[in-house]
Amino acid sequence: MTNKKQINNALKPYFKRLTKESFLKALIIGMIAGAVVGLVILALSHVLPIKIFFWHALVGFLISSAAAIIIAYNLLKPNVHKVAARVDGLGLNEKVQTMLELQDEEGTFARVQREDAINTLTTLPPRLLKLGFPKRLAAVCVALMVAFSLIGFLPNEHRQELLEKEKQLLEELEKVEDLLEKLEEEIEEADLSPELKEEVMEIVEELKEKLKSEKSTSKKLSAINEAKEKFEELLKKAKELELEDISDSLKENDNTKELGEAIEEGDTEKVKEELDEILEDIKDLEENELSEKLQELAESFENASENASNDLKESMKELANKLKEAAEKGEIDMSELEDMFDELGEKLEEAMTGEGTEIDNIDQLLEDLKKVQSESENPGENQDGSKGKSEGQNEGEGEGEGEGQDQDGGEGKGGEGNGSGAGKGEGKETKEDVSIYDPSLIGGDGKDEYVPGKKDENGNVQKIELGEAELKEGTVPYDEVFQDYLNKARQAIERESVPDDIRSLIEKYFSSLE
Amino acid sequence: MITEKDIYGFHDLVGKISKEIAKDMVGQTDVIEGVLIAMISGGNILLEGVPGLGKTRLVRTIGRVFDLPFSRIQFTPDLMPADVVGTNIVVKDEMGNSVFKFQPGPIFSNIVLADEINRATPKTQSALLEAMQEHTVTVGGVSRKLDEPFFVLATQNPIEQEGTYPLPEAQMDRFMFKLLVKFPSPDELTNIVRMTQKKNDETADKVATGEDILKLREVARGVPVADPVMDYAMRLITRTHPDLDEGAPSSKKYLRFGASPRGAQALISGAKVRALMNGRYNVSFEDIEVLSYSVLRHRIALNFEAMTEGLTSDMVIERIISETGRGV
Repeated sequence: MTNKKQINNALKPYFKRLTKESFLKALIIGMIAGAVVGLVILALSHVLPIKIFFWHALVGFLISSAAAIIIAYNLLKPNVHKVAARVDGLGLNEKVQTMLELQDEEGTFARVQREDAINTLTTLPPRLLKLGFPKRLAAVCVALMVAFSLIGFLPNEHRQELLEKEKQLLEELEKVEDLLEKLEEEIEEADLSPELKEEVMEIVEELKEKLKSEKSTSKKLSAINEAKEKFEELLKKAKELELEDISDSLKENDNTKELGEAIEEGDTEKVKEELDEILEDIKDLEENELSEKLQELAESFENASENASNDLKESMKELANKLKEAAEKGEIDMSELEDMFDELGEKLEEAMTGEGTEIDNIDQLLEDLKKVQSESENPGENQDGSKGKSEGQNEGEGEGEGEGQDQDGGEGKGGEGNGSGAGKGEGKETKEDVSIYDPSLIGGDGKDEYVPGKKDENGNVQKIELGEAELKEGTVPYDEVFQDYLNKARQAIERESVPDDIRSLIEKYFSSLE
Repeated sequence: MITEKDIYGFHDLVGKISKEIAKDMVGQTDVIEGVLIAMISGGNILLEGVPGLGKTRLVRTIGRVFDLPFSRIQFTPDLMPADVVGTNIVVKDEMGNSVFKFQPGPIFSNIVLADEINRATPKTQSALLEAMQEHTVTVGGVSRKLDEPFFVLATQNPIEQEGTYPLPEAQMDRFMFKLLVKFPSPDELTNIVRMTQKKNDETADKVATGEDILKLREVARGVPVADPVMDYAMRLITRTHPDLDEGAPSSKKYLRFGASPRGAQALISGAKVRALMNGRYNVSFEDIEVLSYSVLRHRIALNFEAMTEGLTSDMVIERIISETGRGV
């Protein structure tokens, strides 16, 4: 038997005992580490609104305990030198450590010393080597385990809230199917070319597939986004083609050539100017020219309407019919014609800027779908992540000058004014998908907005200019504007998941404006 | 060549020697053990104790047990170096011519008792240096080797400090051990008195020879020292140095300087002998700790703070040991 083997045999019983001791220590350390991790997880579940249950903490405890036990055991496990040192501690006066160092030597002293050490070891009962029990560590471990168990069974408000929200969420998600059905209906009903309709339907079908197959909310959201982007691109192309055709058609006639060019350039201001110019031309026409000129214009607009869609088509047709009628009668109601030209101008602007088309409804449905999906990702939170009661204070100063035309053709100029104000607001929690009409949103760097006012004592219509917004030419009657907003608001609250109290608030608001 | 018989015989022989010495010496077992360890290791000893505690008797007994000649030099302030090492004197040869002849001093012996060494002048004290370290004596340009084994056992009285010349550090370092001879216990005192009342009170017999000592020395050199033990011994020596980063807190607080490398050699040599004397074939931590007092107490110098606090060298050594730790 080699020296090494002989020594290992002699040390084997002690090695086993120390292995047990190391494992016990590693076990306790591992449990401490696991309990700490579990406690952290549980503490987080009480502090943060994260969906964490006791079993999450338990899994964290088990995994971290196992990892810590393995690491601790590898660090603590006895090697032959550790065993030798511990055995020497039994009063062997470093015999075993010396023997280990001399195990490869065969000198007289090495041999004598080895024999002496092995003889001593064989006569020594291994039980003399007491297993060290880490009392302090064990006490810490027990304390942590008790704390872990207690905290685990404490009622958790966040968890309860989350469970309720999850329930709500499931209900929300059920709406997805309804929305998709509505989307298909809207597409069917939309006044779109068959090719465009087919392409849109393909996008919707693809979206439906993805919403079914994708499991994560974020992927579903990105699928909706993707569909929306495709849809918008398609819409943009379709509109471009439509306007191009209208423009080409209008350019064929000398009377509407410049209007066609303005549409081609995409300049909405110029389009309005050109329409005004056509109107002025009509006003200046001699009686003998009137019939012919109006007939030409009617044909031009009629031809152009063939390429148009939706409201624009209607508007152009109506104008063409009116012009034809006027041509036949040989007389013209300028006031009516002006209104029709204004309407056409608006419709053209809407078509050029991409507003007010049939496709808007489809777009809105996609937005609704996206909101329902994002609810499933961040349930119960506002867009900015805030929640609860909010309070704000603002102060503002304004200066304005008004000019306007009333319905009866009167013109007026409003006085100059300036003012300042301070306000304090308090608001309840609102969901991001709740759209409430807010006059303060008007103006700013974005789209130009204006609000026509009521008639004053002198019969002038007051206008309020807000922020940097530029005033549009002409005015729109208050009732028309109000009705338009009211309709949109009603449509919105019908379509979207608006809480009852907010719904009644909106109704109340509009009632106050009537 | 060391045989197993030599190794196993070491313990027996030393046992016999101790037993024989014990016949004439009552108590003082630590001192006897220290003296034997130093003798076998080839070192010299400084004994510190008041007069009348049996120092001379111990030397005489050892000489008889080993059948070795011994000499005693009583150090006094007027003792000259030549009185210790010897001198050249003028004598007439057979032809009647005057010639120089070397007259050996008392140093030419196997065992030398330098009694009250601190009473002699430094010049005379230094006459011992060469003999203690090199085991040679140089007189008149001629070096003479001393017989082996050579062993100096010096004594000094800790009480009477007036008219003494404290040994310089260099000379102190040449003593392997400094042993403190303590006053015997009442029982030991009774036995001492009874023993000395007999007609022939010294009865120790010869049980070993000078050659035996040399053989024992050779055997002891082979005792293995495990790395942790060696490391511990070296750390202990290093930690006596207050100026080193590794110095123990007590060293930094209470010592002016620490032990020399010769101290480390003495510690390991002595520990090897002690291990064999105790029937072990390896050096243990205990050997190092037990001998560190004898090895270090004359190699470290206490500072003023230690003296004001009434600390002794042994107290500081004890603190250094506890501050060092075995590192297991």
